Order: sequence, then C-alpha cells, then structure tokens
Amino acid sequence: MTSIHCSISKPCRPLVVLLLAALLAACAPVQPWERGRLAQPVMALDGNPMLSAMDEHVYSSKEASSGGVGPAGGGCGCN
Amino acid sequence: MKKLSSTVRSLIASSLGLPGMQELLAQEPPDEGISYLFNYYDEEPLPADKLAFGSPERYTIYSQQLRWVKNLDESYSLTVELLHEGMSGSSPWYVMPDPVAGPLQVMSGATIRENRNQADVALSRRGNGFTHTAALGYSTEDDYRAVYGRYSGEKESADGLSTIAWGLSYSDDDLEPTDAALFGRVESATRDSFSVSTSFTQVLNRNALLQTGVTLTSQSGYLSDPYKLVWVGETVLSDSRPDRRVMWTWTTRFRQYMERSKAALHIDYRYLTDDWSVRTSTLDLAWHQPAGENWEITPALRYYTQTAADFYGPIFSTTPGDGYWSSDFRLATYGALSYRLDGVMRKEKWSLSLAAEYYNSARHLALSGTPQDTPALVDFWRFTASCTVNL
Repeated sequence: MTSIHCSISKPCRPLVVLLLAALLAACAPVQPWERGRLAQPVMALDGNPMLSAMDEHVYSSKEASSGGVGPAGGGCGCN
Repeated sequence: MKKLSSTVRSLIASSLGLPGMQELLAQEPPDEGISYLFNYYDEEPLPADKLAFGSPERYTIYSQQLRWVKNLDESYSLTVELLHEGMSGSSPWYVMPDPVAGPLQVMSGATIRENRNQADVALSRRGNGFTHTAALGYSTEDDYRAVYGRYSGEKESADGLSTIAWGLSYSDDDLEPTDAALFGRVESATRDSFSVSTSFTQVLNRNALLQTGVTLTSQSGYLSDPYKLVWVGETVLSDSRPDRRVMWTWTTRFRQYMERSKAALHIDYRYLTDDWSVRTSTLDLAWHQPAGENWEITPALRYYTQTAADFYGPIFSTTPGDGYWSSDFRLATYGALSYRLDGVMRKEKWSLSLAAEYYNSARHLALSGTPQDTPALVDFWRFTASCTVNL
C-alpha cells in the first residue's frame, strides 16, 4: 500500500500558477447593481440538484472516484 | 411563502444597490415545489471477442426520483427525496486467461434483478447570514442497506461576493450477499464511510465566479466486492481489498458569462487521490445557451481518466504476498469520454428538462498509468427527463 500522493505533476505546475494568477487578476469589485448576469439561470453552479445527484450516482458506481463539493450521501451495493 | 422569480431577483439585484440587499437575497428561502426525475441507463453488451462465457447483456436500470421542497416558515425549509431503482442484466464476474485471445471476461450467467429504494429528509435553517442543513437517509436493496446522515453549513460574506461552506457525513452500511453459501461469499459484513468537506465560492467580476473545495473521505470495513472473483495462479479466489481507504478530492467549478451570446461557459474539474494508488481527473465542459424565450440548450463534454489501484490486475499468475487482489474493471487504468446534450424549458410555474448522454470508456483514453487488458470496460447510453412544478 502506498501513501497518499497529493502533489501536482511537474509539467502542470506552471499551468496551475498561471491559472491562479489569471483568476486573481480577474477579480474586480462588483457592485450590487452589476450582479444581474451572475443571477441568470445559465450561471448557476448547480442548476438542477436532482439531476446532479443522479449524475454522481451513475458515475460513482462505474468509476473509482466519487464525491465533489459538499458532504456525501449513503452508499449502495451498485456493481 | 412566495419566492421571487429569477427575473425579478435579477432586476432587484441590478437596480437596487441598497446595503444588505444581497444579504436579503442570500437568505431568501429556496423555491417551493415538487420535482420528478426519470432516468434510463443502458449498458452496451460485452463484445463477443471479449466474452469467455456467461451473458453478454449488461445492466439496464430505470430510476425514478421525487423531490419535495417546503418552506415551513421564514427560517426553516424541509426537503424530502424518494428514489426507486429497478435494475436487470448481468455483471462482470472474473477475468480468465486465454492463450490465443488474451484475457477474456466471464459474466454472471443468470439475469440479476434487483430493486433499490432510498429516502432522504433534510431540514435547513437560515439566519444571521448562515444556512445550516441536517439530513438523514436510508437506502435499501435485497442485499445492501445504508443508514446515513450529513450536516452542511455555509456563510456568505457581508458584501455578498464570497461564500464559505463546510460539511460532514457518515454512512453505516450492511451487506448480506445473496446465495452466499452456494458461491462461498461472505454471509454478512459492514462498512462505514465518513467524509468532511469545505469549499469557497468567489465572485470574480460581474461575469465570472469560481468555487473550489476539498473533501476527505475515509472508508473502513468490508470494501471488497462479494460478487466478484479473481483468477490467481491456477485457481479462482474471492475479490480481496484492504479494509480501509482514504480519499482526497479537490473540486473546482468556474462559470463565465458570455455577453455576446448571452450564454455561460461551465468548466468543472475534479482531482482525486487515495491510499490505494488511484488517481483520477475529471474535466467537464458545458456551454449553456439560452434559445428563444424559454429554452436553454447545453452541449457538454466530460473527460475522465484514472490510474489503477495497486492491487488491480486482470489476472494474477502468482498469489500476491499482501493478500490483496481484484480484477474489478472499476479499479483499472482507463479513460472515458462522454457526450451529452441537455435541454431545459422554463416557465413561470414549471420547468422541464431533457438530457441524453453517451459514455465510452477505453484503456487508450487513459492519460497516465499503465493500461492492462480490461475486457469489462463499460459503454452506456443514458436518457433523463425531469420536471419541476413550483408551488
């Protein structure tokens, strides 16, 4: 059994740093009257929670990974 | 309690810059309503040149889900979810060597028929900028039962531009495999799962937002699959996995509004690593395009890649010294692409959603790791319809 390995592979590191720098640079003060677009349905982080839960159930029963943002639900004997 | 429509909310958010307005919107109760979802899942048959014996027909699953959201008062909301699944088909059993064709898949011979029912009740409380949710659930199958609970909380910043969230969950699962005596399976076993998570959401500018979070999951108990066997040396043995697994998951979601097309680009990425040597990456790309007055059309592409667990092998020529072995294709090195099209129609009082997906997995799609012959890798079609009526 090997220990958990969390590092990002070497070729990817500059890409990750560049991505984070770009995101920080993209941060700008947003006044309340400028938030209309963020409230559009197309911008929702999770527009259909029931469908997202079904997606997660299907993928996690056929792949070795599971989970996302937030705590998990119960297990199943899916095989 | 009546909830403001998204259009009205947008107008208020756009036109009123009053201090506390965003706080008020964040503390607004969820939409009251009833939702129904139907999901049809159909795995493609195993190709004849990969089948040793057994049925090539694989799983077909019908799922139905009902969700009811009710605001009890200004602060409390109740969400009740019920799920029923009916599945039939054959399951990969073990892999056997063939001197000419290489590893071939043995499938379970008889068609398996099984049902799963699940109930989930969640209570949310809003106040002072916080939202707390506690939930309990129960899932039951002929041979598997899970009792689980979870708690999640979130707090929005005073300026309404960032949210921090946290959560815990625990699941207590019991297995009682069918035909245990006949096939020499474990008669009963238990497994537990505990997870802790946190996430941070930030509005980047008036057109973009980002969410990133990590989850730690610890599983313990009987983590082997009682229905799978493994070819070890000259004999066939039961699937044998460590009784503990610890997983770290990092998830990031990015939303970018496109002014010209009034559409939104969604980019989701998830990385998972565990102490079984499994590393996975999942990249989801989706383009949410409004069409006409009420429609939203979303083409999406999902790429998935994973490396194998360190005790995975299609066939073992000698008995591994650590006592762990599995030929479950879900622990192999492989990659998968899925193509998806969603359509949503939104009206004032109801919405309808339709989705179709094709999922294709293959060892050559793996980004890293050493792919081995894994004949049971699955391809499937999925069709989903859901509707919500706002009450």
